[in-house]
Amino acid sequence: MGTEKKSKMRSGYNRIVYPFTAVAGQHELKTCLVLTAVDPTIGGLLAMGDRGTGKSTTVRAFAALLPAIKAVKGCPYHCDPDAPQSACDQCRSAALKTETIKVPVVDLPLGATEDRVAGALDLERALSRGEKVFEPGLLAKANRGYLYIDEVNLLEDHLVDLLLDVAASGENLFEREGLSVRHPARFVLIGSGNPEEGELRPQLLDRFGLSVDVKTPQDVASWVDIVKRRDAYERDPEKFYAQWEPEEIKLRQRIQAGRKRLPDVEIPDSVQESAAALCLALKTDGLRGQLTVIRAARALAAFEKQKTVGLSHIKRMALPALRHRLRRNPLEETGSAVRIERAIQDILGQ
Amino acid sequence: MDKSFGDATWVAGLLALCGPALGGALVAEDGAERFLTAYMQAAGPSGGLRIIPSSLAADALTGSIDLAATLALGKPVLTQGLLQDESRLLVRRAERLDVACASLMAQALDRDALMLIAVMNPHDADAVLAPKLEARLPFRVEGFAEPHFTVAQIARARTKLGTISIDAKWLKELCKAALSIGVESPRAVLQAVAAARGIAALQGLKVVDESCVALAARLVLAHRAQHVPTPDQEPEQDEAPPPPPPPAEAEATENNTPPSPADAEVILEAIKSALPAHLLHMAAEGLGKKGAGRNVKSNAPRKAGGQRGRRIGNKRTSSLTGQRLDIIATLRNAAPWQTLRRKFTGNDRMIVTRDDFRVSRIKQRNEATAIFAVDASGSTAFQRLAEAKGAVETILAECYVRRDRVALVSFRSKKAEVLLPPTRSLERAKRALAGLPGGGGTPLAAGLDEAFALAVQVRRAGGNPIVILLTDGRGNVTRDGEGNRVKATEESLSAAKLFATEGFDAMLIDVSPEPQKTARALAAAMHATYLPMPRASATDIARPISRALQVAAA
Repeated sequence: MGTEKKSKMRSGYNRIVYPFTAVAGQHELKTCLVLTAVDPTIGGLLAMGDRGTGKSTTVRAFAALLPAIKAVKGCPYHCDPDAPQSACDQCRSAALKTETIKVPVVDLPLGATEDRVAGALDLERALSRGEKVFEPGLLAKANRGYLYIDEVNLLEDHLVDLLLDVAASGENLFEREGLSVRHPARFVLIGSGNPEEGELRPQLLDRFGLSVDVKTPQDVASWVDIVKRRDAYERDPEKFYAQWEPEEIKLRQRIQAGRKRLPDVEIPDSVQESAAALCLALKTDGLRGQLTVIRAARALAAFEKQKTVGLSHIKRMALPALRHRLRRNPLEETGSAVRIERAIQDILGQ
Repeated sequence: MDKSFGDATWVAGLLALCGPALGGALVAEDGAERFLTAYMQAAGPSGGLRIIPSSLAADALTGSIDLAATLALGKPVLTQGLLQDESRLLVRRAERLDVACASLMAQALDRDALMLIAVMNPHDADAVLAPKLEARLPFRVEGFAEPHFTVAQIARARTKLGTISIDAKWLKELCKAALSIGVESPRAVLQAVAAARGIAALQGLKVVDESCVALAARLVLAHRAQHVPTPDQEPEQDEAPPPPPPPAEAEATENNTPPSPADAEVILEAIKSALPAHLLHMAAEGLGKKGAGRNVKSNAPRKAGGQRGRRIGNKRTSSLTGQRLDIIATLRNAAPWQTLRRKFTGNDRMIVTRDDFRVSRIKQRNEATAIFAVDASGSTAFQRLAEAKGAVETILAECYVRRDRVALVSFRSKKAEVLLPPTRSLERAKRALAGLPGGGGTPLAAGLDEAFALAVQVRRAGGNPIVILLTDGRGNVTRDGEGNRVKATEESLSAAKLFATEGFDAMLIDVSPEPQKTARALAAAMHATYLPMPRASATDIARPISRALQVAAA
């Protein structure tokens, strides 16, 4: 079951991916994606909004932009040879060959069954040789990369539960069908969807670090931009990519620089207090909101080559970090964005 | 070249030429046979379609175990997934495709790895294609196609396809036209551009000309219109600061002729000639853009033919009657024992015993759908309507928490309308409620009919409908729209009896200032709980309803 399927899936993705820096518009989405790479502890990203806005394209483009990672050759979880504490059991033991691979991006299709997601008994080996071997699922493939779920608001409840557990612990504990396997499953969760089709459960909402409201632009100039670029890409992907390659390389370097700078960025107490005051005023549930604002602001400062986090960073990150965490009175007319803007004005000043 | 043949013929030719690059088409059942004939003639053997049933399981698309062959051979034999590097699939009753299949197909369509021809019955209001697929299929085929294009013509066109250029001004005009009719996403314009190139290729042209663009606009953009064209409201924004441009922008073969107003006209005329009928009707009635309800489709995922609830894992079973065998799980349970079993029986085949059988567990979701039928006529005094709305809003909040669904039917003046098909989306419900107009006569029977039809639909899809009728029971407009109180009352009583016959849970909230006999009689006919609310506020009305919903969901 394994090899056949894998090769089929890979063939579609061998094409040159649309360059991330060539994505027209979608400024908030692109910024937030970049920040999740500068600091993966920010948590995932939720991109809700209009259909057909190229969310999936942008996510794939982003993953392709990221610097390649070092992984153990042949490991199904692409373990990091330099981080044995978070590696799988096999990788932890021996001295291993390494290779460089692109950051994995896994698509979780709606209606995926649990065995495709969490993994299962390798049927082929079991039937032909009577061996009990674990066949990794999508969670394994996503380790050290991105897990993209389109229409996340329609995801089955039991899959939601599974994802919540794995996202919290960073590993997948599989104990079924006579097997007991534990493997690393650390990924950035990216969900997208159209809120018109249903609401996300609040527990799942809170799991996402940042949220972005994706809207289709309504002006002709933006549409023309989008159409022209996409058309040029489809006519000649190599040439199009070559045109944008310098920008791609530049962004990749900025992200790497941001990562290096991140541990040294300082957060003054006054800024910490302001963030706390903001979250209190907005009555966000729990502490995760506040942590995320701080982390996102710090990542932003690092990316913009600044040594300290300032109020301006907090202001810019408040909306994406808190938009989806406001306790919602379903009857209330004012949207979350307005409330956050107001609170920013009141607490942080203009 | 003679362009007097119809749109359907063109689509057949375009799909034969471009295949997966153009995605596919949604074809009306009536013209399907002729369309397929035309397509097959143009595509030849290399463009052959594979027919798949709408009840297809996602496994078949990705590839899974061939059970019979596995058992016979004693070794796992895999079936090849239907979605390969390039697939061309045909599915009838496409609205029945389940969520997982639609998802996989959408991914394949994005990779240009799939061409899908989805056939549906255009007269069946329930037949709605999964929105993900609908957005990725550029064409709608409604008329009859002629077998015009031949394999030779297609082959000739294919050689030219890669070199056809299109002036940038056409891209701009297509964008403008699309925005003016409310097309949702630029993806449609990209599809139109690809179609325009195909049309040019089919005519042996080197450059896309005005007629190609107009035809492409008609084929691809017209059916995505949400409203009739509005005049271009914004001033020309060509000089707006452009985003960082790529190093070498213009293609060598691209011209940059300035667009003329005549170009825009041509495209809009082409589109206008093919706008969906109901839009023009809406424009005539002065209804706004994105009319709430009329062309809003329920986006709830369709359940695969007949299976209630979703599969969640599997369990052991003693008997297989009426259950669905989960093949993979069964084999997985049999697999570890094979070595032993083979040793004991000397048989080298795959040995599966009863103990290994696993069946799918279906999650029986007792999902309640609250169908509000609101009397919005003048006799329900203005104040009551506001309270009725308030009650519905309060219930909405609870439904949101419990993940029940809500639907809204309103009736006034001469007819009844489904303002909101069953949805769990709070935003949609709030919007539909806000837009609820009041006044006019009371077409009670029509309102009951509409609520009944909706309840039947919900039950058919596996849900649990509860009808909540807010009215004073004084119908005075008949089903035909005449004002005749006696006839109207008769009709409403007979409509009400249907609820009793079908056994739907119902509540009737009497919103008249004093409890009315008519309302009580109506409730009795419906076998509904009768609740008089003479001077009740919204919360008072809401309480018993929410209690009933809680009971239903339990």
